[in-house]
Amino acid sequence: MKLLLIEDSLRLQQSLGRALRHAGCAVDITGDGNEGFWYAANNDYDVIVLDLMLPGLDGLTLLQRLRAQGKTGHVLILTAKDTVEDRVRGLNCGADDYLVKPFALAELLARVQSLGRRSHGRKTSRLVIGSLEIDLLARRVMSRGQPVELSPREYRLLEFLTLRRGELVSRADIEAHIYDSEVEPMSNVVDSAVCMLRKKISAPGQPPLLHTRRGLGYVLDDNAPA
Amino acid sequence: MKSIRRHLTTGLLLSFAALWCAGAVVLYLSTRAVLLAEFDATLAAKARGLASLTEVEGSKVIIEDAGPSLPIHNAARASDIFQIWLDDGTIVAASPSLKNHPLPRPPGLAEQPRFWNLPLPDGSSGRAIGVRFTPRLDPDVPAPAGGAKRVEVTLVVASSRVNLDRALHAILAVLVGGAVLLLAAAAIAIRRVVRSGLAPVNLIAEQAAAIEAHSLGKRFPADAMPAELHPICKRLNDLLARLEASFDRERRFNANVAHELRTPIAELRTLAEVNLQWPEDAAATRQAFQEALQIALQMETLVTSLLAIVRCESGKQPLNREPVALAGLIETIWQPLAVRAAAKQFAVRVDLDRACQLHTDRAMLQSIVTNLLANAVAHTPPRGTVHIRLQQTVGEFTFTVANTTDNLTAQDIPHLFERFWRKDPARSDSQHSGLGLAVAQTFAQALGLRLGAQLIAADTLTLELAGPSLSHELPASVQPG
Repeated sequence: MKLLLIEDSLRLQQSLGRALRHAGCAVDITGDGNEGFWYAANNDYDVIVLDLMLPGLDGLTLLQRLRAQGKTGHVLILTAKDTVEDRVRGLNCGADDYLVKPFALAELLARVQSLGRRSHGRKTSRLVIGSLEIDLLARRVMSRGQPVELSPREYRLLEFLTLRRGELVSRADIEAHIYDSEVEPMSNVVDSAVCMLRKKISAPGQPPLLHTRRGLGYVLDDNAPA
Repeated sequence: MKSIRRHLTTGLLLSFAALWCAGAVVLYLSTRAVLLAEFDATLAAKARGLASLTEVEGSKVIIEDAGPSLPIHNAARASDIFQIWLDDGTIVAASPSLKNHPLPRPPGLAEQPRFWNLPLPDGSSGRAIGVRFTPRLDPDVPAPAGGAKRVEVTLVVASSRVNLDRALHAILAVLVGGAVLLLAAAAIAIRRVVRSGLAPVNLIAEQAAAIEAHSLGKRFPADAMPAELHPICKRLNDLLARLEASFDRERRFNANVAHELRTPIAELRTLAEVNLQWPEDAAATRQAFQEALQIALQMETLVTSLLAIVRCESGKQPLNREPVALAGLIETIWQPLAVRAAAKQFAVRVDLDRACQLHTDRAMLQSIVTNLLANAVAHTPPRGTVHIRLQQTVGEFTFTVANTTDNLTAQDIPHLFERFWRKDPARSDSQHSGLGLAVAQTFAQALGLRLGAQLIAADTLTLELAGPSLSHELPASVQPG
């Protein structure tokens, strides 16, 4: 899941960035409203975690401008403003969720995951493809009842493909959603990651789940023609 | 509880009743006087008629018979009676009805007639006229030898006043009955008039009852109110405006406190949770502890400042006054700040009058000076100028910190001493909570000093602390040592 964190507290930027990356998100971080708007307007984030009191451009104005541009990515407002009026105003401006500081980290991560699933039209956190079973909350992958060991990036790739099962996913899409903007992915980074993932999730005697469409991208499905 | 409506209704009703009673009494008495005067005039006419018929014939006094047309002489009419006495008390003539009940002779009558009430022989009430007069001599009867004797007689004529009393009673009944009816009608009318007159007051009461903490923006329609209520509405509106401003300040303060406390708590909690869930090496853990310490110190500063303000405002801040050499205090505080000023390449000028001494609380004054100087160092743009000046006139000192500023406007100046006010609405700067100048001003007020701010030439902020200083020699009571 690709996530943008717009938060002006440097300490929260560091802690939350670390937590979100551990939770499997590709995170871009900024502490300035204008910069945050630029990131959000020029990228396709699954979730944006947005503080309201920001230097440059305040959070609500940023959100309104994003919605006016037709950006539909899920936005979670994370702020110290706790009154009912603040919450109502935030949600009315186009936010999908509202969390008041201080907050429980587990709750923030759960809400972010929930918004991420919603952006792919899924309501359940447990997905099954052929012999593969993925628990999005526990971030655990099982193949025929046996755990599959994946690196964080491989897991992110599998999660992204799983949420779009049956759809053709281009290499550019994968680059955009799996790698944050600080990483400059080489063209073969995605290919090798896909190759490694395919090896780890393939079970002997079972049809392959991850298929390559040459020149187009990849499809994760248990009944796609090879 | 006092009620204007009840007071007005009762007052108006009683006034109306009193006026009506007074009017009725005057009307009754004047009518009675007129009727009595007419009655008396009739009696007097009868007496005059009878007197004109009274003659002296020889040695006798007689009443000339003028026939049945003379009412007084009509024996059948008991309502009119008369009696005539000689001076020796002899009754020379009387109405037939008085045969068995002669009238008592009234004493002290003169030529001027006198009227009085009396019971008539038939038991009814009557009114009488009494007069003394000298009857004329009958010219047809020769005078006795020795000449006619002039005699004086007393004549009393009385008439029944039953009809007069009946008329007076009827008038009295009309007046009393009218009073009852009119008072009942007046009670209804007054009640309605008072209610309609007080309707605007009720309207104000209803509107006032509808105003709550979240609707302080409402105002009373002063222009639509009667002239008497106009000033009240205006005062109420002024009060509402002050309340609204005060609530806004309070709301801003609460929101700022919330932000200033919630953000570091969120930082601390997230820092702890992340490091517990995903522990890293010892160096990273040490770094996390340092972060936690910084956050704790930041919160401690915030809470200490807030407590100091609250203690000062509630008058619980103890003042330990002592002689303080202000120049020395300023230099001590400036010393560490000068390093930061040099790093930002400020052009600094310090002019201090070293003779300036105050009799004040050293710790609180130190806090004020620290906040003023730290404010200048924190907010002066790089390569700006800072001018620190301490001057003294007789009994007065002025400590001024002037620094260049690149982001303040004249509209910002009134907010400078507000708690938690920051130029940046995002409140991103975690190093400054916006309490420093608020603390400085609260302390200054507690110490009896004046702290003000002004923007000079749009780019120089001047903060000025002023107040009484000790003159060249300290008073004996405050001499050090």
